[in-house]
Amino acid sequence: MNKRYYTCLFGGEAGCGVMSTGSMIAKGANRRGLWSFVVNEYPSLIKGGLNSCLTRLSEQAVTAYEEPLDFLGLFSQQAFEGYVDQLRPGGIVLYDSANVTVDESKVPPGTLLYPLSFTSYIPSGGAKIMGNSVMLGAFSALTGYPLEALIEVSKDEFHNKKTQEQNISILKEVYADVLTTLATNNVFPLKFQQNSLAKMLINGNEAISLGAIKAGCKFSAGYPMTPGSSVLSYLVDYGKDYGLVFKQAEDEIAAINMLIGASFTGVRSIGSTSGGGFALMVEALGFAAQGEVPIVMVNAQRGGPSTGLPTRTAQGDLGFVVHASQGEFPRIVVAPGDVEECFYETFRVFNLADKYQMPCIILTDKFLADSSVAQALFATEELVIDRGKQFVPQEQGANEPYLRYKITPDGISPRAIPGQSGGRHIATSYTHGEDGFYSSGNHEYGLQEPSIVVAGMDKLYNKLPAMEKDMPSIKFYGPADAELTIIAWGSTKGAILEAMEQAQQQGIAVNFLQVLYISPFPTADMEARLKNVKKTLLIEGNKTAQLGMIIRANTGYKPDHCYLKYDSRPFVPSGILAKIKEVLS
Amino acid sequence: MAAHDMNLPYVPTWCPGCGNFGIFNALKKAMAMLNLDLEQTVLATGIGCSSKIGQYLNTYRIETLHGRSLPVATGVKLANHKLTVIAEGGEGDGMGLGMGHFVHTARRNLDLTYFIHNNQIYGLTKGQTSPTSDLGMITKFTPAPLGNIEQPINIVKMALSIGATFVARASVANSVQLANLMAEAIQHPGFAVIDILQPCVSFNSVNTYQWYKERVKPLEEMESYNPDDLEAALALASLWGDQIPIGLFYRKIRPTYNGSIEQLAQEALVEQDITQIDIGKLMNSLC
Repeated sequence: MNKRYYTCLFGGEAGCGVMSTGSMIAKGANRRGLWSFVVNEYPSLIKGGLNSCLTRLSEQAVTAYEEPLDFLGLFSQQAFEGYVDQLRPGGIVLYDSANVTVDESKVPPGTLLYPLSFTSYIPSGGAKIMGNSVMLGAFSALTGYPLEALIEVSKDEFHNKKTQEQNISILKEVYADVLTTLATNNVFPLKFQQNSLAKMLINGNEAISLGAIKAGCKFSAGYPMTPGSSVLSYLVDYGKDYGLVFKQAEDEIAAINMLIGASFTGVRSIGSTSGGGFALMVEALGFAAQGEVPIVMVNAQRGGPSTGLPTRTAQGDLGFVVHASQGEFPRIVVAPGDVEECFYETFRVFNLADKYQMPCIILTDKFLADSSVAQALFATEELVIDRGKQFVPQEQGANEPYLRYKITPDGISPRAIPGQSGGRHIATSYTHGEDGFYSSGNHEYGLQEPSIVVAGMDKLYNKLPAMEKDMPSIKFYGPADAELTIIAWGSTKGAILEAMEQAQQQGIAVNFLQVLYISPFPTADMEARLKNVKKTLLIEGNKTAQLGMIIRANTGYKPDHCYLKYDSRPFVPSGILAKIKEVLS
Repeated sequence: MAAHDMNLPYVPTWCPGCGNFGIFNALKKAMAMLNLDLEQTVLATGIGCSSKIGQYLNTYRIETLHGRSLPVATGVKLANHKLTVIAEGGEGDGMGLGMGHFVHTARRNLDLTYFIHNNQIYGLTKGQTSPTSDLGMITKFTPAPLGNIEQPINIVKMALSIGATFVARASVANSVQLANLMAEAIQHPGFAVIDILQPCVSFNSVNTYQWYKERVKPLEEMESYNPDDLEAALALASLWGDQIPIGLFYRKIRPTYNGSIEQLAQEALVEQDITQIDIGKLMNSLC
């Protein structure tokens, strides 16, 4: 059976409460057996402009969104102009009659137009943002969405008792008024259920924050930059209860160096930024690698180059983060494709960072960072902390000096942290010998410099064989045998999975290779998998097929087709399905 | 603990006669005077001749990037506020690339000590103008006839105006006073800065031992000296030229950054057990 969806979009100026309107509907639906996907689009503005929140509901898990709308809730004229084209025939337009004039010639046939005076329901002196309760009450009456679900969510949403009462009273009043004007009670097209599975409404950045807290991260430092900084604000709000300290830094350079200092001292540390901030951190990324200091950094991509598109999505930083910094060194780059991977892979990279003593980058994008999805609670029982090889004073021989960078077969040396007895050492940004001592120009090491340099570089790269076995670098979806294999990374995953489902229903067999860990690149695994493909379609949110270049550099394979999108908006399943058909025709 | 316990078997690569030798010895003396536990001490250095001090001192050390000793030291201190944390580097490192960090570390009054080796020249890159080079100074990058045409940074005045709570200047030529001030700075609960005047025997032929010797004057001998008074300290800090005051300009006890954070009231971050963290309530709050 085809999945059924219900999609509503709320649009208005920043400050109208557009986003909470959409997420309250999603939360209420999640609690009553439905699944939701919530996408926010907003310009880089505090007031005014056009914000939108699209909420897509279904009876089964939702991994993506589509634009055709069943319901359009308008706070402003600009929202009407911006979204009327996406309305399905037979949909509903609910609008604030004081701010919106509907040109009926632009509306598809069979649309129910419902004007309402929002301000007449807001108590005198009440905040404009209460308009979202007017919107919700009318939405409920017009669509048959249960009012009780919205009342319940409002109780959790508004902590101030008076505000809560005011909003709930608006909800009820509007609901009753709108209902009296309707000929019949509408029935919501999706089936609600009581006592369903508990689901979170969670976005990528929240999932990363939860993963970090679960992994025992106790320190974070950062500088605000959209869309990365909501990880930081989550840690500010909730980390304190877990003993985590967040330090706002003077710039991103300070931030990453603070993380290095904390991690050198033995504390798991995370930062979060976007491309511009990451660019400033690059020298210190190399420092973390050279000093073998584990750190975890989130880069939530936005459009670039330069200041680019602060609030819009892109996948343009892949090549950059994989190669960033002078010199050569291995680093871990993981690109989660959904909130579940955001959580579990964040937990995992904290272990990997400690085990392999190197910097790790979690590469997401605005779409994944900021879009909320219904998600079953994460299973945390099996998650085990692994701090890797640690220096144990008792195991050290009596006259044996501790060597921080001791050469070992797997490239990993036991790590001592300040305060430990017998572990004094120097951690350094210089190329160094086993004792961390700078090898250039010194009386002690000067003459052996070439061999020390080679040993130091080989030490870093000797970690790779073990790493390859330790991370689920490529994930595979779909039938083993398919006419077409999609290759992609990051947040495109959800739209690809939905497109594949639709393709299958239409008799087209498509499978999908998701590259989850892009660095170190899983060359052998990718080569083996590429032997089984017939035709490939590479999908990326950038201009130059950056994953394609990485695959080609490592395996020599060139994908047959590319679907590249760099228009600042996410991929949708219908677009991918159309491309699948195009390349197979 | 004697100063020689802090030594490592490496021979410093500083030029013969370099001021860094004197600073290194004074630091070891100060640490010995305080009987510091070397395993509970972290020295974070930048990059440059003076920052090499970290290669030779047997504590925990982290040799950071050029200009970044303070943010790294900040991370160390917040991760384990029970450690004694010292940042050290040259004036090029700290007042050039590191200036932003200097300002912000001072205003947050983290309990750190910062020793700035100030020789008014870039040494390791062989003689370029530094942020404290005097007007008119001829260097590789500011050749004759103009020389340096930018106003030098007065480190003491800077430190006073950005909120450092222990501000001193010392000369390497006066090693007893330097060691004493270093010990006091390490003990000071808050951000303590010492501007340490030193010659660069290879690239600065102007600001020599002799040059400093003729000009430095103990603050105690100066009128209106009062280390409790910021205005008085600022006035004395403005003197630079025929007279260069040395000694403790200012000391103030004010709440530290690390002392103000609830999470650091008891155990250090690094001491927390991370094996059994329950995020159930966070997940439930999202339902």
